[in-house]
Amino acid sequence: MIDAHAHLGKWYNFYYDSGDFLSMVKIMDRIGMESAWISALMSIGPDYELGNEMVFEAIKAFPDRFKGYVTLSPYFADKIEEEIKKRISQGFIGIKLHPGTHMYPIDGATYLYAYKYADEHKLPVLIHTWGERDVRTVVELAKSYQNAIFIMGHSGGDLRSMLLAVDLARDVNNIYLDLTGSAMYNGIIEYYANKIGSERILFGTDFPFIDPRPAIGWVENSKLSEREKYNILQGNAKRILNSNK
Amino acid sequence: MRGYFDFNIMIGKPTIDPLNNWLNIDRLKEEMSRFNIKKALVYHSYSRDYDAYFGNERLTEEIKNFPNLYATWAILPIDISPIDTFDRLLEELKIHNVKAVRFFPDLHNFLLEEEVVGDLLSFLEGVKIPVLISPNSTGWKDIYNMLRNHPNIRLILIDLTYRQSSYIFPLLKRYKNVYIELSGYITFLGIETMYRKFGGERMLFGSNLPYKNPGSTIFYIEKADIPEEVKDYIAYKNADRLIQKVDL
Repeated sequence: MIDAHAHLGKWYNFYYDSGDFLSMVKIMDRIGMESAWISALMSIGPDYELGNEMVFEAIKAFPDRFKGYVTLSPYFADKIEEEIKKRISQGFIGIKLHPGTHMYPIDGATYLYAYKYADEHKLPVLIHTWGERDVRTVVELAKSYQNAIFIMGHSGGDLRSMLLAVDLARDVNNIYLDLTGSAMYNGIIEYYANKIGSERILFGTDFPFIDPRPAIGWVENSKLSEREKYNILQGNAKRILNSNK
Repeated sequence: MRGYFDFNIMIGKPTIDPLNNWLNIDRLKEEMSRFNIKKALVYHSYSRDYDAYFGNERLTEEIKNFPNLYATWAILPIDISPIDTFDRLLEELKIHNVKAVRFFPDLHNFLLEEEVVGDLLSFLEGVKIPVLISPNSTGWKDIYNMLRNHPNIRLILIDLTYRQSSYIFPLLKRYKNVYIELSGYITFLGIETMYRKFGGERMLFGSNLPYKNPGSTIFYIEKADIPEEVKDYIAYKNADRLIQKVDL
């Protein structure tokens, strides 16, 4: 399986053991996780540059197990182009934006270069979304940048927004719905698959922010066919990776 | 496949159910069979979303032919309860074979203060019945205050989140009768950390059906890096032992 929404490191307001890349590989081995697409919690927090460097260290140590998202901070607008180009040349596979922690609008001007770059290079952009407004904004962006692959992080987060996301994203083919979420509502995977198809759903867990095992059990024990589970747990992620080679 | 004792299942239609997940007894039996859940503590949606004792009575009626389902009653402060003496409450709990109780302080609009529930908590402490509370429904300070006044109460913390270890650990360290139900506690390496710090005796399997898929917590337990015999306790034996100790 491939976790398309994972992290690396610590978070400031709650405790968990470890969180470094060695502890992540250990648990990945235990549960048969092939690879995790990571962004550093440091980047989502105070220092995008240091966080991206942490991701690079993880990729260098375990190139087959980790793929990197370059995380951008809207407060360093003049560095965005340079940082994207540098990290993509180092082998990062996509871009991560967290408008929640950075308190910046998804369609804010500073982010627009990232979408343009992703569009030109057919890259995935993982965007944290929470609430109906975020869902609607990502849908509009995906229509404007049709070569970029938009991964709607948490698919809107709360149940109402998730139900909206599946409706609005259905006809916008460059959007993938991300399963990452602490709530893991019973039945929502089946609902998504029925509405939008298993080919448009990506498995993610927020690992190690959250333990990945409950989410795996959630998908594995959903009432989907083995083919649909395969698409969600790894097939779709592999297709995204291959599409921009 | 390991057998499970589920400490946290709701039956009946809830007020909010956009995915139509609610369980009647037939659907519950299917889920229990699918996940090898041998026994379960069950409460009724009506007791949460309509009226505590109306729901409790409905629960009794619906599970009466299923000896592997145990009643969890929603319980109210004695001053606003239709069962308004402790003698009567004891009698009702016995008659209905109730094995756990559950507080909903936020939804049922009462405080978890000593003036409100102190006498009730003393009673529950005395009969050694598990008391299920979600800290999110009252606040952690209330939980701490409650335990200061009732240190021997068998408190089961439910609906936990991955962000709450800093609140949970001091309680487990100080109070030997505090337990956690695992369905919401999805902290990274949470089961391993809990086992290392406090052993495996106070973790309980709960699915939080119909809201969550039981396979989620089961997979977490099965893939935990802890001894297999400890998994047996978390899955079943800890819960069974708690139920057997209820002294009505």
